[in-house]
Amino acid sequence: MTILIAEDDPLTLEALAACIESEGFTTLRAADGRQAVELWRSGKPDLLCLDIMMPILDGYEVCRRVRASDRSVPILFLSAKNQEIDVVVGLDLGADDFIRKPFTRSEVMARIRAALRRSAPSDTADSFILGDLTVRPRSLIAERDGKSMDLTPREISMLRLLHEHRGEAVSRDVFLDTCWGIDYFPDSRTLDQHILLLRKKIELDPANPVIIQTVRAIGYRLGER
Amino acid sequence: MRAALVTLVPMLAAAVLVMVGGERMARREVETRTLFDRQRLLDLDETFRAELSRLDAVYLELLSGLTTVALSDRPDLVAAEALKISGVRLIRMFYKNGKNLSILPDWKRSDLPEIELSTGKHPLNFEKAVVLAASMLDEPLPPKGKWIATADAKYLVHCRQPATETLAVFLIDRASVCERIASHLSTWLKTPLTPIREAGGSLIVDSPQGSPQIALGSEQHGPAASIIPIRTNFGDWQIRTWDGLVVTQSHDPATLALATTLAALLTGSGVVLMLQQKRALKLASERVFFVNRVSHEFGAPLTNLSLNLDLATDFLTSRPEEARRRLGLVAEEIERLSRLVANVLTFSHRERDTLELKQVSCVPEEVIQRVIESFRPSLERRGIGIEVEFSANEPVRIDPDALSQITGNLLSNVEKYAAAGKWLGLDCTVTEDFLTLEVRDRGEGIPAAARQRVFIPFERVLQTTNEGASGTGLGLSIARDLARRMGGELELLESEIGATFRLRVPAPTAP
Repeated sequence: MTILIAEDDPLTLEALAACIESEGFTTLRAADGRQAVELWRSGKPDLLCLDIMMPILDGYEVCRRVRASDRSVPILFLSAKNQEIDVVVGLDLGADDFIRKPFTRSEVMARIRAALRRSAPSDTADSFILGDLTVRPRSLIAERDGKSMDLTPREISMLRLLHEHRGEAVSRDVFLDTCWGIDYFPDSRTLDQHILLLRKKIELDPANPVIIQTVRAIGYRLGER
Repeated sequence: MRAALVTLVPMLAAAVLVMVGGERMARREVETRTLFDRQRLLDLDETFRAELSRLDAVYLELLSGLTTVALSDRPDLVAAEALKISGVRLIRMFYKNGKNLSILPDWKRSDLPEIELSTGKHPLNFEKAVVLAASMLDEPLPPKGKWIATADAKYLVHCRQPATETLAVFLIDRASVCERIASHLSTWLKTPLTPIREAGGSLIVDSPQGSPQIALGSEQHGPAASIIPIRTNFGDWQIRTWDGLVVTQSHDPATLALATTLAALLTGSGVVLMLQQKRALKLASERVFFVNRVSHEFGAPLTNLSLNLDLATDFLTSRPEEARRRLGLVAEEIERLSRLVANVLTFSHRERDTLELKQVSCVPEEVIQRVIESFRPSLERRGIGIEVEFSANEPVRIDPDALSQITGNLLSNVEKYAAAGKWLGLDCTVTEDFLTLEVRDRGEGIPAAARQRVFIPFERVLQTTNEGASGTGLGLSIARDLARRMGGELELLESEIGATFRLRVPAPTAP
C-alpha cells in the first residue's frame, strides 16, 4: 500500500515517512503542494497525508484538486493550524480526518489504518484463513469470533507468506526478502521483534503460539490445528 | 466599527442631547404687544350695527309686504311671494270672524311647529307648538309687529295685525335668515374692515351660528383682547379682536457656552474611549494571534521530537547508527525550540519593559559561528549553501545572547522564506568599535512596500494561508529591538537579488 506524504518541513517529512514505512507501507514524499498533486497523479497512492501550510499550493488546494477527480481516496490533514475553523474547512473540503500537530507515531498510524479500513472495498476476494483467524488484507485487520485486530501491511504480508507455504517451514531469509524487500537489510532481530509483536496481536496465548510456530535454526511455520 | 459603536456613538448621542437641552435652557423669548386701534374698532362696531339694523328693517318690510298679500285670500300667490323671502316656513292667518288660514310655502318641509290660538284646536305636538293668546286678535300690536320666541330655538315667530281682528303669523327659520345675512355681509364687510386691515389689526367676526364669518391678521392666539356682542332678531354677532404680539428670541450666552463645552467634552471623551477601545481590541487580538502563532510554531518541532524519539528507540539495538542520527535530529529540534522560547521570552520581557542587556567580553566570531553550526544541518537539508566571511576574532564588549538571538532570527528568516535561493552569505567585521553583520540571501526578496512592515511585530510579507512557511512574525521585530537596545540598528538594505539585512552595533574592544 502506498501513502503520499506532503509536508514542507523536511524533518517532519522524513520522520513521518520512516514511521509509515516501518509498518510496511510504501511512501511518496512531496515537499510542496504542486509536487503532491504530481505524485498523486503519477503514483496513485492509497492514502494522502497533507500538511496545510505548504509552498506553491497549500494542503486545502491539493485536497480540492484531488477530490475533483477522486472522491474515495482517503485524505488526512496533518497540521499545526489548530483552530476549529481550520479543521472544519479541511473536513468540508472532503478530508477524512484532521490530525493536529504535535502528534505521536501511534496516533498517526492508528488514524491512517482506520482511514484505510473505512475506505476498503467490502469484497472479501483476497481474504484468507489461518486456523480460526480470518485475515482481511485490504482492511488491514484479522478477525476471530467477530473481534477484529489491527495489522500493518508488513504483518499482513508475513501472514500471507505463511499461508502460501502452508505445511512448510519458511526461512528467515525468505521472510526478510519477501516482507522487507531485497534492498533492505534488517538484521534478524528485526524479524524476531516483528514476530513477537504479531503473536501478541493474533495468538490467544502469545507465550505458547499456535498460529506462528518457531522452527529452530530455520525460521517459522504455520501451525495446523 | 465595534469600538465606535460601544463608545463614540453613545457619547455623540449624549452630546447631541446636551446641546439640544442647552439650547432650550438658553433660549429667552420676549413678547412685545401692540394694542388694537380702539377708534377703528368702535367705528367698525358702529357701522356693523347700523348695517345689521338696516337688514332687520328690510326683513320686516318684506314681511309687511307679504302680510298685505296674505289678506288677498289667494294662498297660491302668498306661497309664491313667501318663497322669495328667506326663512319663511309657515304663514297662519287668524280671523276673529272667519276661517283661519294656513299656508305652507315650501311643502317639502315638514315637522314644523304648529301655530294655534289658545281658543283654537288643540295642537298635535303640544311641546313644540306655538300657542298664541286669543286676546292678540283684539289687542293692538305695534305697527312693526311682534317677535315671539318658540320652544324650538331654530324658529322665530313674527305676528302682525294687517287689519282689526286679523292676525298674520309667520314662522321664520332663524338659520336660513342668518345664512342670507352672512352671505351679504361677507361682501359688505370688506369695505368697513379696510382701515383695520391697513392698521394690521387682528380680528374675527363670528356669526350667530358661532362660526367665524371673516378673519383678519394671523395672530389670533390665546384669549381675545376684546369681545363686542351685537344683538339682532336672528341671533348674536360678535367682533373679537387681538392685540398685535411680536415674540423675539435670544439665547443666554453663558448657558449656551456651558452646553457647548459639555457636548465637546462628551464628544472628546467618546473619541478617547473609542481610541482606547480600539487599542485594547487590537492588543487582545494580537495576544490571541500571538498565542496561536506560538502554539502553531511549537507543533512542528514537537512532532519531530516525538517521531524521531520513537524511531530512535526502534533502532537502538538493531541499527545504533540510525538511532544516533535520529537523536541528532532530536537535538536539532530542541535547539529550534530553544530559539522559539528565547524569542517568546524576549517579546514578553519587552512587553513588560523588563528586558536587560549585559555587556561582557566575548569574541563575536565564536558567538556567530555557534549559531551557524546549529543551523547548518537544517540549511543543508534544504540545499542552502553557506558562505561565511569573518573579520571579528578579537574580544569585544557586547551582549553575546542578544547577538546570538539576532543572528539566529536572521538565519531562521533565510531558512523559512529564502530557501529557494539556495544560498546564504554572512559577513561579520569589527572596525572602529563597531560590529557590522550582513546576512544575504538569493530568495524572492522583500517588496519595497513591505520593507518597513517586516520589522513590525506579527507582520509578515505574506499573510495568506498558502504562504508556505510559518513563523511567529516576531523574529525581525525582536532582532531590530535588540539592535536598538544595544545602541545600534538593524536595516533591510536595497538589493537586486534576494534580501540583505545589516546589523551595526557598538562593540568596544575589551580591555
